[in-house]
Amino acid sequence: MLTAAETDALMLSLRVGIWCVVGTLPPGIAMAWLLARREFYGKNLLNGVLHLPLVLPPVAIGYLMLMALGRNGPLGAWLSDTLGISVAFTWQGAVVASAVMAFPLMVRSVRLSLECVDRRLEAAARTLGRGSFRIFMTITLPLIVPGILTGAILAFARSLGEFGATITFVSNIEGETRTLPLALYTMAQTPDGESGSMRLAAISVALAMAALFASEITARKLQHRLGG
Amino acid sequence: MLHVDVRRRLGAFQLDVSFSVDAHAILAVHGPSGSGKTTLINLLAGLDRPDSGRIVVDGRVLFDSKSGVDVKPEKRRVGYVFQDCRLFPHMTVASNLRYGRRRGERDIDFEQVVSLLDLQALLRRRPRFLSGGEKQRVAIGRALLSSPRILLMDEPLASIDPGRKSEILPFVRLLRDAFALPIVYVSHAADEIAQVAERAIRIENGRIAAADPVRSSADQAYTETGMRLIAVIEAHDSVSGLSVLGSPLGQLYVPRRFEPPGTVLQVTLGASAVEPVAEVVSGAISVLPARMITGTRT
Repeated sequence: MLTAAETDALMLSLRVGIWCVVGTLPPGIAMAWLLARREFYGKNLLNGVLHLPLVLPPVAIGYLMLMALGRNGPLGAWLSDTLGISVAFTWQGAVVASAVMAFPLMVRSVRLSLECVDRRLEAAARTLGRGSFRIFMTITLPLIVPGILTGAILAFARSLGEFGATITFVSNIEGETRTLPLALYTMAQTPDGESGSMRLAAISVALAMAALFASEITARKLQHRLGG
Repeated sequence: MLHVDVRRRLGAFQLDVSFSVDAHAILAVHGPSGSGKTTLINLLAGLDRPDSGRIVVDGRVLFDSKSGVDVKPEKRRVGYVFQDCRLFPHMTVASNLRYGRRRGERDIDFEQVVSLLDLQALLRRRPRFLSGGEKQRVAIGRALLSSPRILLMDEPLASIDPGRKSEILPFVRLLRDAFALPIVYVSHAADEIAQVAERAIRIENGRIAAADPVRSSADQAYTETGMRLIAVIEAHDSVSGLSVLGSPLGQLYVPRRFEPPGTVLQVTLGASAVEPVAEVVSGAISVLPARMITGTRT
């Protein structure tokens, strides 16, 4: 039904999207907590830097990442020298690119939901003899699950649609970094590529709809459990 | 045993109170809203910090500004029943009850609390499916099951309609007797205080305006003067929150008991609980015929 190239692009997009969500979740929750619950010097600056990927052209983000994380970049050289890791021009690099783009979306929705948590419930848990970490795990975290879910869906969607930062940072290598949007772009540049482009566009629509439905069903189940 | 001597300034408001509560006693704290009642019990629970002073429960110093002691709220073993209940919405009643469970030297039995507060039918429900009175009972149970050394109750009946108050009030006295806990009971309703507390302090503008024994320190009166008699439970009236006892002297109305009708009880009639009335009055008051034999001036 799908050609080998289409399957490759679809599976790669899924893999990058899932790893992007998995990778942004823990730091996203930590950052959201920091911004929602703590006051510290430079908080506004941190918040600003965090939102840069939302306002900068993705190509600029990709270029900055290439400069920093490329084989000759300071961070990239350190990574490959000490840990033997290189993300430039690999699918892991595509994950990093979409994670950077998705991070502010993840942080925003988790933070919003953290700010809605009734802190009096946490105070009640303290009088019941529980320490801060245990309270976070048993009270706060379960109550912000809807926000985490929203953040995860946004991050996944951002990753599926990510184009500019990815193509700039890890290029357009078939089977390695050619995700659905990149494959679609490539096909559209090819003579007689109209039908191939349409097929890839249709796959993208189907994937996006499936993700939306999945989140809708999960959200409804959660709503039922938490009682709104 | 609870000793409190605290000062706390919040803007223009200054709280400055000191008092003690015996073990096995219920102290009512009343006063107009904004007088500092909730601030006071937040200080006791450790949710707010006094500017200076000292808080001691059962000989254990929880706060002392001089020696720099400030025990964290989670280490204070203070049971706090909040005005707004604060049940955890994502947990069942049973999980809420077990949340603060700990094995202490004064381990409170889960089944005992469940049957005492009549929670059996609610255990698998979630808080949003409970009525105000049910939520409040769960909140009381949850605080109890954390094996506290003192129980703080902040207007536990404020959000409950008057007819349902009798669902809760008898429990409060029962708690004191069943678990030998000192209880600080914040309320602005005089009828609640009269039904529940041995002593009351009135706070106005952050200061103790009056400290008065509600039942002339019932415990003391019981041991000093009074009489004992045998009585049988005849009926319970859940509307008024009273039980009717049959005794050789006649019918006695007492705060609702939880033993079944027919149970024989030993009743102590404290001297201070006896009040002469000129004529028979109606209502739920036990009126006994009596004749003055001797009078003593003290």
